[in-house]
Amino acid sequence: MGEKLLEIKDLSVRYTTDGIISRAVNHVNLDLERGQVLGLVGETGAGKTTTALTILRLLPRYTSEVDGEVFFEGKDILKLSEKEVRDIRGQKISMIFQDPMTSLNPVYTVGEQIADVIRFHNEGMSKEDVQTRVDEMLKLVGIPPQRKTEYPHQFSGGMKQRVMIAIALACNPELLIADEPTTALDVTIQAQVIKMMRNLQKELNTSVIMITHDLGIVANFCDKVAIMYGGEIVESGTLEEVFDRSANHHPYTLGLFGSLPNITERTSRLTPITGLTPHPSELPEGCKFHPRCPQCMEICKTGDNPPKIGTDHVIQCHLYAEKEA
Amino acid sequence: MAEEKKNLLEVDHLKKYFDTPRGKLHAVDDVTFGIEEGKTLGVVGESGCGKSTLGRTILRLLSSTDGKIIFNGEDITNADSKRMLALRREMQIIFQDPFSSLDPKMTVSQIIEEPLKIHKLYKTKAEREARVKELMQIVGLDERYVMTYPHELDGGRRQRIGVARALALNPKFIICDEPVSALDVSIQAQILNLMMDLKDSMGLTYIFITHDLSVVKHISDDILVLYLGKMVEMTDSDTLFENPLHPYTKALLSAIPVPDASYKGKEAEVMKGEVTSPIEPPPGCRFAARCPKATERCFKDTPEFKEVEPNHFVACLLYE
Amino acid sequence: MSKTKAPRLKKNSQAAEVWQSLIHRPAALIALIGCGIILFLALFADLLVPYDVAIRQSGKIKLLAPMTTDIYGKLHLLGTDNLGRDLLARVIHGARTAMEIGLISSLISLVISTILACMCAMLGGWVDNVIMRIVDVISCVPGMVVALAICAALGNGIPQLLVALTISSLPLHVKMVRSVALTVAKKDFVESAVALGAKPWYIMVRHLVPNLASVILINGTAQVSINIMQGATLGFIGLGVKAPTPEWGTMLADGLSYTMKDQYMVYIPGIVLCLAALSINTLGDCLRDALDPQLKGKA
Repeated sequence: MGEKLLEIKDLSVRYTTDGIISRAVNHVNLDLERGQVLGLVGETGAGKTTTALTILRLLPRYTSEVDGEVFFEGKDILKLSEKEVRDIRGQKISMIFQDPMTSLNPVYTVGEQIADVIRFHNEGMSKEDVQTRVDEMLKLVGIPPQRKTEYPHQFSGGMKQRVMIAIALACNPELLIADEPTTALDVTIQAQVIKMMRNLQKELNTSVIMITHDLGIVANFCDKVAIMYGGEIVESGTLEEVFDRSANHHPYTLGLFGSLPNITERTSRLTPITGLTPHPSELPEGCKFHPRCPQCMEICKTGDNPPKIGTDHVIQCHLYAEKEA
Repeated sequence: MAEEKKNLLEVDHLKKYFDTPRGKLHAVDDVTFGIEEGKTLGVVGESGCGKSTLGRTILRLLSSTDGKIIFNGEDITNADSKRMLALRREMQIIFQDPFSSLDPKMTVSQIIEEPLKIHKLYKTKAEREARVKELMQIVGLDERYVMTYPHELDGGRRQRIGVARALALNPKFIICDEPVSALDVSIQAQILNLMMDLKDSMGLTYIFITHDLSVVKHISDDILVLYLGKMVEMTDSDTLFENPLHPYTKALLSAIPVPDASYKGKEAEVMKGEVTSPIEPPPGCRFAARCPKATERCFKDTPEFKEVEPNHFVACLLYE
Repeated sequence: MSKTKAPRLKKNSQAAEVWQSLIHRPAALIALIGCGIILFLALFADLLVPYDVAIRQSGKIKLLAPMTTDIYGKLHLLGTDNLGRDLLARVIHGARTAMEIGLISSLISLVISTILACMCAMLGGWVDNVIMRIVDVISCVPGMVVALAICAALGNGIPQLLVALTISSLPLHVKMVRSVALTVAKKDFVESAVALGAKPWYIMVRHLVPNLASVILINGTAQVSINIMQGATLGFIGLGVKAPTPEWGTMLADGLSYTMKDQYMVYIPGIVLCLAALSINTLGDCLRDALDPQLKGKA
């Protein structure tokens, strides 16, 4: 158990637009070790993307406020200078985004875009060395190196996403943040891409934060899971702990599992969670999930946030506090 | 065995080709099936398989290239616009994207009311408004949203508006084109339940188009799998999942990530390659290039879609 | 089910929101006031100053500097021109002329181009081709040349000017509105209306046009100021408006010979033209800013 690669402590992010304050991330604590894969799960508006953008200091400067600390390899990223952060981006921490259709620049070849990030972080490298690395990366993601002279529009969605992964891994980063990388892809292509990511992750020992709403992908790829709702982590633990149906869980987690149409189980009617995810500018008092919780108690409606129970498998819920007491 | 129920919809060797500079694009290629009244047919396939084109061709939003469409015993393939106007009251469509399928300049009540106005169903405004409120209630939309605009509402509510609009004319048959794909998981479940309830209470017949096999299992009685415009497998819902025959169906099923920790690291047999082009496709099985079981014959002979087990149809040379 | 309020941002229709964002921007507010003044002068010119005052010539009071009282005891705020006509009166009535020229030609052009663009988007095929080729032909000839040709053929006068300006502003409008119309026509809600059995003309009016409102408004305001300037330019070279109709461009031309001594004859129409164009253009820009976030469709 070495030093933790990433430690997020009490992170809160607020957006202010048109005078309205959106509390996108609220007192989030996360950590990740080298070589670990964390699945960050939640629906739209839960705060997953904001958390990811905060790690890379990619939030809009004038409309966002950040509190808390984000330690990467022992240093607080939030306190680094612009130049130091730029050095980290693409080299130590990389990110891949959801929509491969728009993430690549259509006027440059794929090879040039991979070469760019290599050159940016390796100033003295010779042209031949850069090209060798480009070829290496393309082979790694299963694209014939001859195709490096082609333009993004000549590739399909799945291949574009592989190019994105090649760009992200070109400088062998310690941490890869993948924000719903396969949502826009067909399910068979998704399977190919996830398989490739898993192999690469093992080979390069990269840590990954996999942001997704698909619990199936989490089960396939992740070591740890953190479930987000209303900008908070309501449950976290190892994959086995969170997916263990016989254990205790946060009611939202149970709701998520219940909403899933599952091909291996026979259910005739789904059990969705009633109500809607609250907008970050209108979060409820007390426990943020209480309006939708089938097990809501009086104490949940007001006052402080529910306590976090447990040490490794942590659940933020009043239900288990009572039981513990 | 129940008496032979009449098929509400029959599609006979339907083809839809598009002209492109590089040749004809075979979007829908020789599709034949029938749906009994009150049943749901799930049409499944990945992007480019022709499922959306199929839906639109059946509804005559696109003109077919060949083949027949028979609705309630009547051949509507070439029905004129007057007949189609009347038919539109019985055949409707729910769209995929709740963000672009509603006119941003119209209020919720105007959107739901539009079909009533086009078909002049009620004489007075008050009657129309009453019907709109009724529809909103049926789909679970609170009355207070009557004067709101779509952009003020979330995806789930918008999709409910789409459903209400489709129901306004009391259709018998609705084509649901990926109605829950753009929604969050917990909202998906709500809308799916709503659609299943409506099916039962209003006796609707659905074609449910989706790429998500787990979703289609819940709502469909029968499932048709399409690949590059061709039918590859069709049987009832349970059988498809318990006993898939076509290699593509098997690959689709195994590609779905299962939310179960014991599946971690399990090497699913992953299909190689990407979808081949639907433009002027070469002879032989369209899936041959990616099929783990392809033989030389597969690239030459086109497999026939036939019944290999009771009510289980496959198009694969493996079963010939 | 929880009572989730819709986010406070958008309770009203788009028009109300646009108004709100306009009056909260200083630049837009000033531009609105400027345009408002011009419109007011145009509409109520006769009530403010009789038309007669603007055109009555009088040798005895010519070339009086601004803020001079003439021999009859009347104060001329902006002075008089070389024919003894009160410049303030001419500026006010010139506003009416400018609005007639600019606003009317733009309106006609917008109506025609919207109809043509919708036809292109809804009907496509050969209709689209024919309309676009006609538009291409018109756009080959520079606007000024078209105007010159028409005025030369049909003589001077406001109606002729209107025809010329309408024709020359068509191509830009048709192209811009058409490109947005094509995008709108592809949207699912149009297909949805087709699936209900709606006829093409119904769809054009009910679904296309309201969604084109933004681009029409933005283009329209830009075109108003362009046309006013075009009209002024034509007036400057002696075409378009017939004397003695007060028109800012002609007034500029009249003042040319007096740049040495009575510069106010050039400054006054010049500044008025600038301010008018500036107000209208700024309003157009602010409208674009106000409408654009909604054009992008906030979920």
